Amino acid sequence: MAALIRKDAWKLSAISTWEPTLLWYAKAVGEMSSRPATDPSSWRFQGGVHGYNKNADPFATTGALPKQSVQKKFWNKCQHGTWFFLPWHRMYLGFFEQIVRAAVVKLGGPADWTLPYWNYSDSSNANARILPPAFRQQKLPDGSPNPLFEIEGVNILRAPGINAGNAALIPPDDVSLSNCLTESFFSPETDITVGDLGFGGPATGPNHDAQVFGQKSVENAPHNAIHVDVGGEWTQGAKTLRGWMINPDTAALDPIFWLHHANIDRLWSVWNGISPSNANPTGAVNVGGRKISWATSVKFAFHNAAGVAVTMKPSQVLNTRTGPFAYDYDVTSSPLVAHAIAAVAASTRRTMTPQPRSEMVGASSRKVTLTGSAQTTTFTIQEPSGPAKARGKAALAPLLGKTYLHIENVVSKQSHATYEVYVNLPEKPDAAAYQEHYAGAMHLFGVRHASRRSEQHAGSGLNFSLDITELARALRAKNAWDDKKIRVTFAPRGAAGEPGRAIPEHDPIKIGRVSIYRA
Amino acid sequence: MQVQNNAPEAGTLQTLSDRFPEFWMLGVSAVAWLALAAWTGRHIHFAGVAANWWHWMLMVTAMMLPLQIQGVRLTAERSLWPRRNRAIAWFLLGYLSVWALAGALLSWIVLVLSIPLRFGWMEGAAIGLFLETAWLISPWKRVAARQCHRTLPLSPTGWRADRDCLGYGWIAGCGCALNCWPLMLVCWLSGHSFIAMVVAFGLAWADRHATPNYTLHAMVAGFLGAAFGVLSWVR
Repeated sequence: MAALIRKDAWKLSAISTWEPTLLWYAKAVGEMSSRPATDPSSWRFQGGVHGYNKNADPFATTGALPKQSVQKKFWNKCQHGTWFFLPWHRMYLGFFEQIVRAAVVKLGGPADWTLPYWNYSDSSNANARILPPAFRQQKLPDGSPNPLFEIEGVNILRAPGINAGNAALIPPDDVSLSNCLTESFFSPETDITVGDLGFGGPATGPNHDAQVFGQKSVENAPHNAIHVDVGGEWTQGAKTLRGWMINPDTAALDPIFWLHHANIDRLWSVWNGISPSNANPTGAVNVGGRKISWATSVKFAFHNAAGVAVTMKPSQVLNTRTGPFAYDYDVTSSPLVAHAIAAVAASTRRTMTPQPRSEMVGASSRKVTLTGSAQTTTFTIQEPSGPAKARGKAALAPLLGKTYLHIENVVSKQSHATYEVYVNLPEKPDAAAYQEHYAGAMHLFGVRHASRRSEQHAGSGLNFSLDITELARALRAKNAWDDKKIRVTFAPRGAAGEPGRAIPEHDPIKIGRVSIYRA
Repeated sequence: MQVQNNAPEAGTLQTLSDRFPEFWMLGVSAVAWLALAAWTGRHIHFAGVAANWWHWMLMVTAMMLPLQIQGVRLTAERSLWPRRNRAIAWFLLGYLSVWALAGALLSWIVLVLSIPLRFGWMEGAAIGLFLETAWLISPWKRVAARQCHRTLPLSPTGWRADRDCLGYGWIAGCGCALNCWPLMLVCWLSGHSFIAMVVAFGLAWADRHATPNYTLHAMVAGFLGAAFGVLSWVR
């Protein structure tokens, strides 16, 4: 079967707000939403596969849920903070697309319908970071309610301003591809949880409890960032409201979720295509004593369009064109200027680049509590005496080796506020200082779940690994780096994306520890 | 840029220990297995709480330490290099403390209730395995399983670092005890039978590392329990 092509939703929108692909999608969402949750092809069932919690279910009073045995087998299965993040979501989207296509055909639409993607990183499109217009219209062309805006009479909750087309709510940094697309390997070859964690994320067993995000993982940004930015969190009177996209248990109920993940899936194809050495893992990793092969060790269960339960391994979805879903994207070339100028030379083909072993050289000894204003922690740095010692003394660090900032056990029972991380920020920073000392941001998608002990989660919160090698070099060049001490500042991101402004007080976000690693 | 590795050449043991921080812990566990094999017949009765307790701790060292590879790696990864082995030691002390308390309680109970005199070792193993089967299909098992993945922030230096590693080991021990209590009962009810210990260790390893299909694990445990039960009846 020839591969069908998934298209850029904004290019479709440029033809017409209700270009047929988008209109059929809206109609199919409406059709699927009318099906009972017990039907695997229903909107609610598909949403539950990602995550489900009856306390967060906007349709909790609408009809029966699947049996407990079905929920146990098929629901709450999204993979996060793991090298299975990409293949699991590829399978999830593949089966979803087949189910939607069947609904489209049932409604009289084309049999070659494909799921569009939202390319929020397209620098040639001034509107890229705005939700495509079809998702912001209250009505369909025939005057009936738009299922991309409301589902079965329930408004789809999104961050205030998202439906009004406010691009400032998604800062350019959140959709920048300069980190993930320049990553040179998929996953580390060991089960490390510090340092460079690859484009695809750390090697783990099947993992619904997201714990660790590397800065260069596509899951960190743009994936987590978009979930937080589009979903949003705000107060209405005494109540805190959260958009569907910010909560893993409701995210897949928002029709934009699927276009977001189609783009993430596309970025996987883009990354593979940059160089032959950007290959998917083929070997096995010893994870806490167990050898796990990314490609073959784990099977994931879904329903196909016929409602039949099937299982699939990552090895079956390596090639989107020749795999079971037979699709491709209209654009899979890298948008980065560096990749356009010169094709990346194919190094010796390897699936996972051996990572230099890193060692911790300093850490904070007290927790950091964030409630709306900037907080700073300072701690000493030691000379490496282990694997990083071979790189030489810290003075040589700019020339040899890498430096990472690790933010550990970030726990929050309520708040998802985005905080930006700065190194050695001056006492009264101006806009230039914020730019020059910027290390990265914490996108807290899933933090509430990760902070709560349950059947699905250990309750230890989230961890972030930021590569500050280049930042350290730049700061050293302007005498703003101290080999023996580091100051790390967490500053809230303001309402319009500006750094450093205090935001309204919120429930505490607690950071267990900040540490620095050399490799 | 090609990075030059100027580190002095390390011995093999040192290299193994550097790359696999769990290396010496597994060595201790292996020695414990050898001691168990040497001292344990199919069914041993011990006189006195202390003797029971020491044997219990030998079992825990042999069977439970290998399940903490991930915890040890994480402890080492999140500690300053010069103190990584000390950090691991404090972690294991915290971990073993949980089992030590459990063992002290059980050692006292076994003598009060005269358990070794009431069960043959195969009957004891069968009862333990049926308890394991019931635990695996209970809703609490899934919550307990997640607790094995908890982590704690560790202070970098000083007594606080030791305290935090001890605390991390303690919560790891609690998670482990919460998950594996029926399997340790298999060993205890069977009078510390070596065969029962090997079976229990295999099930614990599968529980920790295999894909969490608790229904399948319960079927295996139930089958083994039935096998021990039938064998004890036939004999």
